[in-house]
Amino acid sequence: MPSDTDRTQHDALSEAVDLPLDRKQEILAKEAMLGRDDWTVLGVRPGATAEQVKLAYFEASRVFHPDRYYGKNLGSFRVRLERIFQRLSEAHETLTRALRGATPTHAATGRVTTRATGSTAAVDPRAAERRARLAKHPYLASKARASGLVEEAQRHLGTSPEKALQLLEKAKAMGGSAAAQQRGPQLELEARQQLAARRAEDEMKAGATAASGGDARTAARAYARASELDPSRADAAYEAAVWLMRAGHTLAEARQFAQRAVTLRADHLPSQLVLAEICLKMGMVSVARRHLEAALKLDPRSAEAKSLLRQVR
Amino acid sequence: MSEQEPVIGIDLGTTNSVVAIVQGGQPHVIRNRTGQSLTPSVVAVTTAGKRLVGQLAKRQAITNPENTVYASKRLIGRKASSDQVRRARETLPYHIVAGEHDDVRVQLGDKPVSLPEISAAVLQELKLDAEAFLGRPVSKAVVTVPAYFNDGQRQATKDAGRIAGLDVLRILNEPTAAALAYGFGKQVTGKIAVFDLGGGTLDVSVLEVAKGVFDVVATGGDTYLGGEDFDNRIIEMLVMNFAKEHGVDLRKERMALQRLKDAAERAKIELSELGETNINLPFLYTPPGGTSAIHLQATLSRAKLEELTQDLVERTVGIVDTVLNEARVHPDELREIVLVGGMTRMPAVQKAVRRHFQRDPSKGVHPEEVVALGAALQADALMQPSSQLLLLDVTPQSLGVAIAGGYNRVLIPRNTTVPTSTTETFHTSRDGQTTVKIMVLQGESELAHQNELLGEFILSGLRLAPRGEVEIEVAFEINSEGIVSVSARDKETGLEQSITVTASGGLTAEELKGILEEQADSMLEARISSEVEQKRNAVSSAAAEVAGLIPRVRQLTGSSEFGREALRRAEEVIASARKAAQGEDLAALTDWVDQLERTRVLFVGVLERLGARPQ
Repeated sequence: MPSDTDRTQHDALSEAVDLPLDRKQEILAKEAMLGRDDWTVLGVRPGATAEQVKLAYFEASRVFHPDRYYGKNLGSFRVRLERIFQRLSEAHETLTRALRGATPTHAATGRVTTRATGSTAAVDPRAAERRARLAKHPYLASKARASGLVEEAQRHLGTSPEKALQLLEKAKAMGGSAAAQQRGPQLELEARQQLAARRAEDEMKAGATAASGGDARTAARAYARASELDPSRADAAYEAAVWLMRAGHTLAEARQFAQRAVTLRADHLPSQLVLAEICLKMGMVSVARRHLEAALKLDPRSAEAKSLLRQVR
Repeated sequence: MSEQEPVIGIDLGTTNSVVAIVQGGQPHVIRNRTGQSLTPSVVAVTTAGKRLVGQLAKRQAITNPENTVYASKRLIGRKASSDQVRRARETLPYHIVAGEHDDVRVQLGDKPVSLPEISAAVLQELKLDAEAFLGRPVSKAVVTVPAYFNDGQRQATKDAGRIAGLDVLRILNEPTAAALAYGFGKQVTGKIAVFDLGGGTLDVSVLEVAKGVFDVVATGGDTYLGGEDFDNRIIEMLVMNFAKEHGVDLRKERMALQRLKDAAERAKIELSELGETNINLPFLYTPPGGTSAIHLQATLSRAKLEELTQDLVERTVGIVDTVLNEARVHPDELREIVLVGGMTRMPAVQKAVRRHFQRDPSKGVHPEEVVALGAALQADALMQPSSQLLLLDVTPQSLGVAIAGGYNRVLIPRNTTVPTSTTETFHTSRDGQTTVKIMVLQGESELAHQNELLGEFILSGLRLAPRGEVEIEVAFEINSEGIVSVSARDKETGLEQSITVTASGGLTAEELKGILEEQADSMLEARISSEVEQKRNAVSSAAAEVAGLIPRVRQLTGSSEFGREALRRAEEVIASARKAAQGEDLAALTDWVDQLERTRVLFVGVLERLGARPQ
């Protein structure tokens, strides 16, 4: 019932609380998207690294953690903030767990297990023989082949991610040992990331060609695709924001890329400026001010930052 | 900014407490009236009925062991019937009694005093020190507690703040506070572990830090493992040897025990620097029947101390392992290990940490001051919207409810980032059932009774219906300071259910109100003796100054209409002000000081203009 939502949102906007209007808008916008997937909630693209997820979570916490508004009259926004923050930390927790599936902790436990089985074999000579016999069982044999495929996929990683993906696909169908099952998804993720990074590079080139030819629309689309494909590319996010704005696209879309550019490279002056400019156009004055101040910290003489800041005041 | 009310950070420790504040963006420790940064967490009542706090209380502990309370932090928020309290009762020289609802009280003089009141005395002392340092009243504070404190202990600490006249903005976990202070002013990025071994508790926390955000990943510890346990090992040894030699059990001698305790603590501290130390306690025991007194003389080496406490040190390292495991952090991933708490000065502890992490723990933080500094930083961050610092803390223990069969069903697992909440639906199990009792537990055991019972909530007035038809949705919430609240709602009717909370070891709401009212009177008196006295002096000296100017002003302006009028009013002001100086109305006194000052400025101006220099 969109009309209902609209009404409650409208009521909330006019609620007399100690929050500026654009912050209220920001909170309501975030609240409206809490039902979506963890990536969207945190504002990162699927495939982002654990480090990017963490930084996005920290960045969002700065805005949505209730402690940021300590002692203020928040009215209904207190509950909203608490709900948002809880959802943010759940999303962060889930993604971090998934992305760290094969990090040092697990590698370490893996090592321990191997050593443990090794010593059991030494104690009980029949165990090795029993394992060899079991390995011939058709079910287990296919598992062993699957493990081989995973290893082969690993070798192809880096040179030919497409090939690696094919092999992993086959291995998945066969099952594979517990170790391979654990390694498989991680390898698959890596292969997909490599593939995406290559395509992103192509899109970047296409974007640059279109931009030099003066075709803002095509450039914007290409850069946006590049940033979608490889969310860790700060240059793609920045160019996408700039060209989407120039091509007259919706500001909300441009802002997402600008925000990503700033999150990835907080010390990049043009990114801070383009984000501030977009926010200013959208009427999110205090957000714009925050980024302009950050920009002035990076370069106290930036004429552009100063003139934009004058508009804010 | 300077107009903003000052907010202090307090580390309320088992043995010592520290107060700090952020000024000009920098955290500082505030020294107490004796010029020290550590104030002993000791409260005593003398035979004359006078209350002593801090160094004064500690100094007279030996001659007044039964009315001197130390290590009260080990008892706060606990139940009198708990194992921990029963154990403490055996070693502590003061009298522990049970309150009306299984809460702990201490018999001081002729009256049983609640633990929050004892902690409040320490907090009040620190508040006064801060006020003396700042020259203005302080009413807001952030107070730290061990991360492993449960809800009851946190609530009791908050109550203590209220009794001391402090609005406790936040209860903060000690290792987190230490991490804040450690990370302050540095661009720390990565994972750090805090190992906080204090007088009574061990806390271990793992944090992830980036760009001023401090995210606690996991925290754990033991509320009954600290410096006092190390002291007790020394005491046990001395008592055993004494018994072997003289056939006397010193544990029954309260005064002797107190002296042993002091000597053990001193020896332990000395052995962090020296290889060997002497313990000399002359006239420790006087046998009945007038035979001559027995002295205690012993030598203790560092090696012997390490042998006596080896298992304690091992235990600390074991807890570190558990916490790292839970955080899913490998020791290699840690950027820094920060040592906090006086006990981390002990070489054996440092060695164990070094061996365990295979690297040197970080230096450069003052282990006894760092927690208070962190509390001050968090206080500042809460009050300044522009602050760069943000803390994402976790709940240290799982929250659950008791279910059929005596089991614990966890609703919010420990190390969940707070604030957080969850809802659980309860059904009636009998036809026409009108009440449901919910027992809220905190702890990790599968068995309900092995966890801390936070409270029993009785939902009453349920509508009459066949069993299972009434569904009650109960919401459990943990706020940013780890304090739990529960609310319930009938799912079908949407009606909020009334909840009755039975006391859980702390003070009931009425008891707290009673103490606050009683306290309000005595606090008013305390203020009169200090603040009013100051203002009275200010009024008399200002009045004398103005009176001193009158003859010359009369000489120069007495002939004019304006001069006569001004002089008449000045004399009136002096007379009224002197009368007010007899009273105790602080506002009126302040007012008279202002009026006198205005008159003085006027007169001095007149004299200057007319060319006569005031004397």
